[in-house]
Amino acid sequence: MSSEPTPAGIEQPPGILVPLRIIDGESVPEGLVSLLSGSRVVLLGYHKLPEQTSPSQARLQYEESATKALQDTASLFRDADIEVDPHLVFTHKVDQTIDRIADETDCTAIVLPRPAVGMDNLLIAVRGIVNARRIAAIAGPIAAASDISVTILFVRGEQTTDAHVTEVLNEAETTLQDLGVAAELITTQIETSDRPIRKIADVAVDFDAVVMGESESTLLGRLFGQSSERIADRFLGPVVVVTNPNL
Amino acid sequence: MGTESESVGNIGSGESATTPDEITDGAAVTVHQDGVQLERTIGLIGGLAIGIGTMIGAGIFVFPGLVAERVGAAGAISFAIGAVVALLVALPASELATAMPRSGGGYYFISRSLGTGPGAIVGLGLWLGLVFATAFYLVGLGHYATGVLAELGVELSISPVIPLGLIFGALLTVLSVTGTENTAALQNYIVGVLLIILAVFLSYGGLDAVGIVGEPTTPERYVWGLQPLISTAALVFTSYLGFAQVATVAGEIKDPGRNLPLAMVGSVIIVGLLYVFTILVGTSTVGSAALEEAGETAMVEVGRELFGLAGAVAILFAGLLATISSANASILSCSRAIYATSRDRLLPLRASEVNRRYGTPHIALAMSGGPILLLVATGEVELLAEVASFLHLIMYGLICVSLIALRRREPDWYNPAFRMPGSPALPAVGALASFGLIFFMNPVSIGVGFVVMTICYIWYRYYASDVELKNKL
Repeated sequence: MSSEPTPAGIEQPPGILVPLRIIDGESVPEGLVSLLSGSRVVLLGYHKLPEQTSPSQARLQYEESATKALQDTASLFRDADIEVDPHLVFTHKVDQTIDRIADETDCTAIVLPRPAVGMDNLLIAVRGIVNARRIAAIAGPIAAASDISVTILFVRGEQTTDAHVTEVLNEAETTLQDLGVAAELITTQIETSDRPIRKIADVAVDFDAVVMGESESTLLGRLFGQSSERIADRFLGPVVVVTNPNL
Repeated sequence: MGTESESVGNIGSGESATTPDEITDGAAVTVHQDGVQLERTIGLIGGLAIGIGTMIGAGIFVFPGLVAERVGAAGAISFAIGAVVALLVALPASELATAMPRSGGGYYFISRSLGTGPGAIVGLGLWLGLVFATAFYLVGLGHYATGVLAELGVELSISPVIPLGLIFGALLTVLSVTGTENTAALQNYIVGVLLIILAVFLSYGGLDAVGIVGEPTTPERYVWGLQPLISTAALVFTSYLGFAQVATVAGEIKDPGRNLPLAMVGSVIIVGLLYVFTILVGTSTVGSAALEEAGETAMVEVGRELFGLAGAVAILFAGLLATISSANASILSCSRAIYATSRDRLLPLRASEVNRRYGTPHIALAMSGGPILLLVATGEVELLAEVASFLHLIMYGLICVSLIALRRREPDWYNPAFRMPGSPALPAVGALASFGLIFFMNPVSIGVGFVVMTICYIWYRYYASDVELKNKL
């Protein structure tokens, strides 16, 4: 592992958390396996309980079916030669569980598991230097593994200097290339808007998946946090949310 | 029925008294041998809120009038005696809980250290004890709801106390089955609001009593003598039943080695101080005769005396919150007690079943709510309180005995993160005090308590005599 490049301190292949409500029958949506083929998948099958129910009580009843469903799901990833680490957790607080598992397994991104129709192009939305490096470190292996084109999107405001825009886009591009994405597959797109989230959502419609950052305090908050949630509202494919993008 | 009971039979294969299961405890998670993880989600504040929220309803909002009637201002001493006994049990309970941070609390410790027989009496007794306690809180709630109606000027030809208690009881039971919103945070806020209201009342009332604000007043009537003080302590001991409920969710407490002892001991100390001050302030402010006359809602008169109508309304509101919080917390603990015993096959496993739609233990909750409503219908506040105390005191005494037994045996699995000081002397005193308090109760309460205990034992001999729980972790 140590010989691999670790851009922005993110180990390669990067760990991506896939949370699934396993007992409610949520399964891996179509296209997600191939999206994650260059990543290390941490599969979190969780069951959220009302506080009236002790987790051990739910385990008593659901363990068998949940374990089977989780193993079946894990084998989908294994069959595609993806390193997968399944976890089954009974919990009252999903955000606490997601944070703990992500921390224990060194996951720097979480995916909102939704179907991808095809997997031809990927949009990554960047904002600053560190942000660009971290997001590209997650997006790189995704794009490199399936040889798909990547568009780096920078939504600038009135105040943004051209130099900054160029620097950020270059940073993302270099990181992507370091991670094996062919230069000819990378394009950049610059938009100007006071409402970057809305703009990203508008652009995302033409893509199969989005990788973006979110700096909410909890992972679940990030997943359903302000910006990623508003994009997820309008963009119906998988969204990979990179945690602490400005770290 | 056929297929359903079959599937219920199968689900136990993972965890049961007959298949031991290696468990690793982390601060935030319990990991079973097969890799399944159970998240620990209740922090110190949550644990304290369970303890305080369960206890505070009774001691402050129901008992002051009843205590004034018996011993006047000396009731503060009775509450202090209760607090000391509760602390003597909270310490060993904390040690045992850190060694066995599992659902079921006192039942779990006793069945694992003393065996199935005592475990069954305590486990089934805890279920029924909580049924009595919840019924008691609901009758108190009925009194406060009636007070609200009276304040609103609603005149009724019959006393609405019991009907209101029944309505709230049924409502809480239905909500506990169907409500999947997270109300733990709400419970924390309720307890916080209560503590603030009480702090304001007690500090103002205290200043008033010593003469800094207004004329100094003195508690005008004391009843001295060991017998009345201790028998009153036995009655009000129901106000200290909540700390052990923290242990019924021990499996869900984060960092149990630290948080369980702090939550249990801390909640006893906090409510104990509040109770003692409440009696002192109450008897100084309006006198024990007025408290006695106002009965279960005596505190409302104290509020009225100190702050006028606004004070009365604030206390009525606080009383409603407190008794609802106590009843709600006890119904949930009750369902945990049923789960713990049914997991060990002392009750049919079916009782642990989780509802597919709501994810709640509907059968256990019904087994709590049903008998609770029957008892509310009796409306016997003191009897309900004393039987609840009786059944808990048996458990408390046996918790102390369990600690002494485990300290003597020191089995391999016994590695508590917290070790209480003064063993075996302190737990021995705790056991004697717990059992001793029973003899100061009303003979009828003792009789009912014994009948319930005997039924639990007969049930065990008949239904579960082949279950072996000692040392089965």
